[in-house]
Amino acid sequence: MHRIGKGLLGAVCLVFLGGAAPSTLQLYIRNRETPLQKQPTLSSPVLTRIPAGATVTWLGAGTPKKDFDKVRFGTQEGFVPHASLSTRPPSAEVSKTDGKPITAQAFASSGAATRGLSEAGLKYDKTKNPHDPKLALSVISVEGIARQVREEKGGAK
Amino acid sequence: MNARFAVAFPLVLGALNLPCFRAPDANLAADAIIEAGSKVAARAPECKKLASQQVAFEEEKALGSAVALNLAKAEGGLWVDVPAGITDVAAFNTQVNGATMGKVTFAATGRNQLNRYLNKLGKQLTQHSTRPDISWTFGVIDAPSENALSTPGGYIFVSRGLLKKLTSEAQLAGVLAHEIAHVTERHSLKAYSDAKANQCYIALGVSIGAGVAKDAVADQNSWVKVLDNAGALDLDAADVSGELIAKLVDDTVGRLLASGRAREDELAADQLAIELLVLGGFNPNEYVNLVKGLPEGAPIVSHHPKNQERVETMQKHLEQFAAMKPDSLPKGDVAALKAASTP
Ligand SMILES: [Zn+2]
Repeated sequence: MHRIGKGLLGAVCLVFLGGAAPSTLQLYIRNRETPLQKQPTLSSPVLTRIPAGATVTWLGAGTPKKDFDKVRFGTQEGFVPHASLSTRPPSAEVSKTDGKPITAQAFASSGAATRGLSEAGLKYDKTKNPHDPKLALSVISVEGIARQVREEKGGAK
Repeated sequence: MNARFAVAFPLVLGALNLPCFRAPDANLAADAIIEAGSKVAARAPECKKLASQQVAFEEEKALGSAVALNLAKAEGGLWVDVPAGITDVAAFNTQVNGATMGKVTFAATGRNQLNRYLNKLGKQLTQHSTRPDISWTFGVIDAPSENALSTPGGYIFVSRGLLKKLTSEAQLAGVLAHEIAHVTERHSLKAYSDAKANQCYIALGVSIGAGVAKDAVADQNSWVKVLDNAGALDLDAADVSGELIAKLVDDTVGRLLASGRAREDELAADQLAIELLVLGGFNPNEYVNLVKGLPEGAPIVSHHPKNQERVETMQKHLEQFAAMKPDSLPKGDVAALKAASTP
């Protein structure tokens, strides 16, 4: 196990089981129910579904485009979309009402992905810039463009 | 990064001077306040625990949006075209940030295309991060300086001057990845939690006497509610005053400015940046080389790591990804970067 830092980083670390040999690189699955597929295509048969936060062993790029990776999950080998991989486990979020940890699913359905400039931001702006809405309008515009990009389907590029 | 990269809020000092105490409002009923005041003052010691409690994303985003506005102002505004005819902030905010985005069209101007480009690049990195589902927002500061900044809640800004200086898309991706790491690791939230404990203590501990301000009583009530709700502070609630928000934000920014980012936070952000670059499909050596060539940090961040230490830490970290052959990863679309940085 390789620790990346101390203090704040205590909870997040990359897991490496050995030297630099390709088959020891461990990555995390970030999406729920990520399909492990027989071939590196979306239409290929699903061998099993991998839960979010599970680790897989990275075996190599799955396609020349690198949109799939070949991985080992438990004893099965197959392919997962590259976008589903992360070097660290998902970060836990807490509830806004009682500060207790919430599941990724609960967080996703809490509207976090669309949360932008809030009432607090608007109040702060009114306190600091009582007569100039230009700044808030420009921040909201950037948020609008960002949201449109985030909500576009498919790869990031 | 250097001092300008390292501190999330480098140029906001002048904009942040709010008085800590307000002039008394003589119209309040003194007796009632004294009685209520003695009860809340007894709870002031509880404020300490706020410094160590994790902050919910909603609270983080509320803080971040206030800081983002503050930064955008201090840095000379954002490089974006607001849709024509839009003047009502609240209505536009609902349209853009409501549960379902209303029909908003952003004209394909140079500025807006640059914002699109930056957000696409950012998405390529954040999808591999530990917080892929938060509302990441990448924007451009209209300034000739060479800055990259992040706020809690996922606002990341780069200056036009920095965009012009960079020579590969992988370098820009590295700068974004470093800032993304500060957000996913919640590096600025420690300062916020400390500010929260401090402001709670000041509000509850202030001696309540005849003529205390009405706002001070309202703020005390807000803090009592926070203590009752296990530290959760709904900054967006109707009864939380703009002054309380401003005090908290300014206290947070003041703390970050006073100390800069911790050395270990900077090194950790670099390491995480390397990971995001490799998974994002960018050659991490471009970023390592960029850091190598940065001017050394200014005295304000005296415990900031030297470039050499950052470079060595990243190079060592990179060895662990040898299987993925990071050396052979592309520098990215240089033409796209050039087009974007000269709108
Ligand atoms: Zn930094």
